[in-house]
Amino acid sequence: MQHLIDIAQAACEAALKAGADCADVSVREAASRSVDLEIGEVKNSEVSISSGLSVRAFSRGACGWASASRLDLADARGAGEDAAALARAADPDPDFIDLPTGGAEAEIAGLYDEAVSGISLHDLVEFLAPEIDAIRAKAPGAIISGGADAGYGAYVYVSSKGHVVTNRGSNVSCGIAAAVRRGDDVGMYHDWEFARTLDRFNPAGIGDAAVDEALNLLGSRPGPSAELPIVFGYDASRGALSSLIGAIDAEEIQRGRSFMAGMVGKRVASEAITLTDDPFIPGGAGSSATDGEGVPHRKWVLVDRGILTTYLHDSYTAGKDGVANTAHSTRGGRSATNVIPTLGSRTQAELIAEIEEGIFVRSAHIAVNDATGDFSQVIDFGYKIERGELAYPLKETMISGSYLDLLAAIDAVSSDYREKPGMIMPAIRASKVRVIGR
Amino acid sequence: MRDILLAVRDTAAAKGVKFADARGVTTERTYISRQDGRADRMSKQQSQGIGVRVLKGGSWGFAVTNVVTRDSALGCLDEAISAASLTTPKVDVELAKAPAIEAVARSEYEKDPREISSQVKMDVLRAHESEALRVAGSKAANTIVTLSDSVTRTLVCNTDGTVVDHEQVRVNIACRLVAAEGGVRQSAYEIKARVAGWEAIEAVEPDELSVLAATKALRLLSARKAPAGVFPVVLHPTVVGVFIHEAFGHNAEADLVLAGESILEGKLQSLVASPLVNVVDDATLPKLWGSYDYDSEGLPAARRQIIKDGVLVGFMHNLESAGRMGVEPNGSGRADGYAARPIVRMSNTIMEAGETPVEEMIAGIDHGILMEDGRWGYVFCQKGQYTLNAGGGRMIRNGELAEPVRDVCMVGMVLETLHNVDAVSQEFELAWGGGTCGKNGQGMPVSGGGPFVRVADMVVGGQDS
Repeated sequence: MQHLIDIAQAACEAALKAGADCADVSVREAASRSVDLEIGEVKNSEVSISSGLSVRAFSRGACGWASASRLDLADARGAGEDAAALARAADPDPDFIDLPTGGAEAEIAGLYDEAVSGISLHDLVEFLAPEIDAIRAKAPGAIISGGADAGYGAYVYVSSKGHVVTNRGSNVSCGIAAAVRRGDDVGMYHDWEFARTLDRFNPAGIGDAAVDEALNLLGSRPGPSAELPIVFGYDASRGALSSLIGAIDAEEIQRGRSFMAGMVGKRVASEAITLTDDPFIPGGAGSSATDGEGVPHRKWVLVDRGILTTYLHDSYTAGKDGVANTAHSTRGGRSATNVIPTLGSRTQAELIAEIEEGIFVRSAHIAVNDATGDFSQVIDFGYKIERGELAYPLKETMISGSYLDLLAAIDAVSSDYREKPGMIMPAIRASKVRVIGR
Repeated sequence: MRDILLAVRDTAAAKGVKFADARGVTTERTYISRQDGRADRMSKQQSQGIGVRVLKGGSWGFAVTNVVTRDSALGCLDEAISAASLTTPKVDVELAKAPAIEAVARSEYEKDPREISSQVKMDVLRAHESEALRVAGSKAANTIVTLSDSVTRTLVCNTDGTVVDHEQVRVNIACRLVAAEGGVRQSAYEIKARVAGWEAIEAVEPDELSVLAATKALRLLSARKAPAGVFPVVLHPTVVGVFIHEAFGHNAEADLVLAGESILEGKLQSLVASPLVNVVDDATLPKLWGSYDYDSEGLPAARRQIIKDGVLVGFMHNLESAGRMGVEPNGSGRADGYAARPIVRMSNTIMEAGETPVEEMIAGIDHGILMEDGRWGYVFCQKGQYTLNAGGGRMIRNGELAEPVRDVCMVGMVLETLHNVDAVSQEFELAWGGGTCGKNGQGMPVSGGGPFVRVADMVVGGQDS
């Protein structure tokens, strides 16, 4: 780790020496292994070692960036000088105040596992093998694709404020997709597993889950055109809510680009929706002690019973608005960490059972127009609900409307959920959404 | 770099591998953005590294390093050999036989963008921004004008004797403008991108970039929401470009066909579209964003006919897919930098012009929609279901263009849509914007184009009843 710190500090010092008012540097070094499948057999196996550094220099508030892929002192100093020169060439920015300082950092367990570095390509194949067998047992001839990968690395952040952050991370994941063909009819689905540490990694069952759903999705037909209740299932709710988090980036608001402008303290969803950003979940996919500018993370309730409490800020946007830095910097952007919905009191099955006619979305995201807040989205994988049960799978069926209207129409969050590290995925139900079919 | 890659190649041959290639890629990229009256971000990126690929039986091994030394590269070769030996697939792969190519190529440009000062670049951005703000006036909520250029040098050597040294220079300039009025907010985006030098940026007039973005955003402010339902639609060439790439083109990538992941599997020489439909993928069009001289396997770029008079006549291939299908390779193996392996990719995917004047196509519709300003789309290849998003369009009433609409999204089954094409216009546009296609985590510059196309009935997911 010390060699990464030395390189970062060399780049930072070079930027200051070249005339920058302040600067920060991130350095990463990582390794990964991966395999991927073609028709259920290993087709490609990869081994990769990567590294990179990125220097951000400021002059009169203007920002210059320079990056390099090789980690040596000469390249680091060169990047520092380049960043400073670019910052001096850019226009001054009076909204920039200063780089942030650090603070006490939380200890978060389960983000790095030395054992991941010992995962071989053969181990990755072994993770996938029983899942492939499971698919073949239920659907001989199914087209099986997917893969597995394991990666680990080190990261260093250094700033001219004297701030140094170091951390290590690891991850292991695999995903598998099954496609079942019956003449021209195709049912397809996928499932996945992810963990930061090997002891929490358990891909068993993803093959069954993929093939079972692929078989269920055979025989799809267009849905109706009507305003109907919709249940976003475990695999769909995260996608349905992620556009809300994406729309509260403070810079998007400050620049006048987002439909969420002026909404802090106001209702953006029904009372059923409470979303907490928790960076401290042990082993969480988005967990980390600090943000991209080395500012200690904290836990935020972003949406409290439907009321938006804050935008996502970094040091620049917080300074510009004169508000507290929420420590959501990705050093170049802003993002939440682990967004956890508060659960409701009834199960997904109960939410479906209460619907006479409606739609169950198995998997889809909602692409919202950032400026207008409107959406128009195909249901990638879903079912028609009739008399409280899944009646038939859908194709060529869309949903559309105002995203804020959709969030306001959410009348329930399920009590049960799917869980992955740092992710709690319940079902959510909206009472009325426009559905367009043939 | 060359000596290192040749050493890898020769060592691979000495070790008796069936096939190996070593690819060294060096990239320099600069980016400037000007936003709300200030050049607020300037960046410079440099990267360099080597990827080594080995085929053994039917499996590939691939290893990557950004330490450009002989020892590191030879270490990659050992890793790649070991990775390729991991399993023994049932299918033994024979690559297509391609002649050994020794070439040095450089994309055509007059002015090296690396030699243009930051000040000159900022002046260009300022001029475009100024014109956009003049048009949008007080309705401009936000403008971003960006300029990006890159110089990428790729050296590929393989055990069949190919040694290709290929440099490509790319430039693009883009403008996004958000307009707001009375609680309504709309955005529009325009980009001009070329495989060319700084001279291509100098040639871009504000009227075709920032003024156009401002004009579109202002028009969308007064546009009504698109209707929901099933309609006859006319697709503007920009929407056809997205459709033919996203909905159809990915299905014609031979690696997906071989993997059983394409709806076109088993349909070669079959009617897959209306006889009015002709589709090519052409990597040789001068300066178009998806063009190149040599692919990442060292094969020359080519024009590939995919659909001829509605009949599927070919796919895009790399060395492996061509070998497995017993056809000639056609230079479609592209990799996103040294750390990615070459896979089958599109370049400039184009539906060719037909014979119907666009006015005649529109005149034949009582109540429909003209979809304009193609933005994005995606497809599930095995299922054949796709979706397309257009920034706006016009209603068609009684055979004439009527009021503007916004946010038009549609869904369909790709082969049904292709069969339901009932008119293709004689008007034709190449897309001079720069797109990035994603596949297997790799982004690749692509472009396309097409005529106006009429489809009998499409599900349109608008926001109005």
